[in-house]
Amino acid sequence: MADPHDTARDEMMNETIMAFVDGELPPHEAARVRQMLCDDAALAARAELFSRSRKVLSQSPLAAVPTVDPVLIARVRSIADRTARPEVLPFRRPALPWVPMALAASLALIVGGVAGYGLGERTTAPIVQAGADDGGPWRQALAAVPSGESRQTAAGRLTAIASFHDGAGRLCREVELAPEIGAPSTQVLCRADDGWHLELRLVGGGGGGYAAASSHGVVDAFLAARNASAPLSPDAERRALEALR
Amino acid sequence: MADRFDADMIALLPQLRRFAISLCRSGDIADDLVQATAERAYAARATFAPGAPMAPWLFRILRNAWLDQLRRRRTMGVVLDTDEIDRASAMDGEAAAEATLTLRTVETAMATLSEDQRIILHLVCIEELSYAEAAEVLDIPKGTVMSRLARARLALAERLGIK
Repeated sequence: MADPHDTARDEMMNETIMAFVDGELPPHEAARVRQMLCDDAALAARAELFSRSRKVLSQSPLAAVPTVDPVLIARVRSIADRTARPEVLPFRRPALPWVPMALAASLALIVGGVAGYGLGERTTAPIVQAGADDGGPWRQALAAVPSGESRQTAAGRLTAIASFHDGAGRLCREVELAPEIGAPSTQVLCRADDGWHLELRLVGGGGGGYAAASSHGVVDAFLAARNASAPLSPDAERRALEALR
Repeated sequence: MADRFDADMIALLPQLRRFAISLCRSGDIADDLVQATAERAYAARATFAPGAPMAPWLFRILRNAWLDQLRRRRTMGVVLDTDEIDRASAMDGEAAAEATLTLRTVETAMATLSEDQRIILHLVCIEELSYAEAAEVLDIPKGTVMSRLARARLALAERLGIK
């Protein structure tokens, strides 16, 4: 059985040699290691191994600089422009002038009951009216289902994704609702004194299942626009939900 | 009017996309991650110290965005598409000719490593971040970067038959 002291010493020597190879050592220590490598062929071989492992990666196709779709560049520029010229937005309407490039064509975005955005076309009417709690039975589950778990409700299967606080300090939940009939949706709801308020609703078309992975970009943008906190830890979420009950 | 921040952001998009691909292994999701990173970066622009290296700051934002997405799709599983990786990592012919190992070879070897090891290898050996910068991106001590990186390099060398 290897002596743990030897193992620790060996690992420390590896890290020192690697740092030398990577140019991370201060000059005086680098000179000392250089001399060590001159005196010890085994250590020199180890240095060569660290050097080659880096070179293999830096010269592999993984290191190739990928092309960036001009559409993505244009969207980042639009973010910059929007930041430089902030607009006065209607109440409840988040700053979402873009739609992720990979969104399914049938994706409809319903925000705060004000208007919807699709890919190139506006939806004719909001699917869900925003505002105070509509009394829907599934909303009662909002205070009960921990993130990462699902519950069957009268309105469909509710899966809690995350909990966080918005910039106003309200507790918000991102959930996915998969009704028996109709398209599943991703929703963000925030808690106010008079109940849950719908803040964002993404309806994924084109069949069942969850919303397209790329729709998370929309949610990300929404959360960024609302200065949302990082998702609450399981303990913090449990305490926050218990406080509602 | 584009300023230095905007110009640097645009210039770093290829690197951001490369890092995003290494995390999510999907070109489409990588694009969304990069876009989400830009959203967050502009929202937090006031916290960025002018003159500081921008890449580590953006890499950190991108990684956090990815972790948030992973939390969200915890119940969905992550879709990996290696063909997508090939397309997403498409490079110019000259670079391809210079490559001494195929994508599959390195990719297969990398796939046997832990995610922590893959990320630290990518940040240091591909993005050429310093140990201190990698520590900042991953929010871990520099000593942890060194120990994790050394083990990852040795493991990769072993998988690739480098002696």
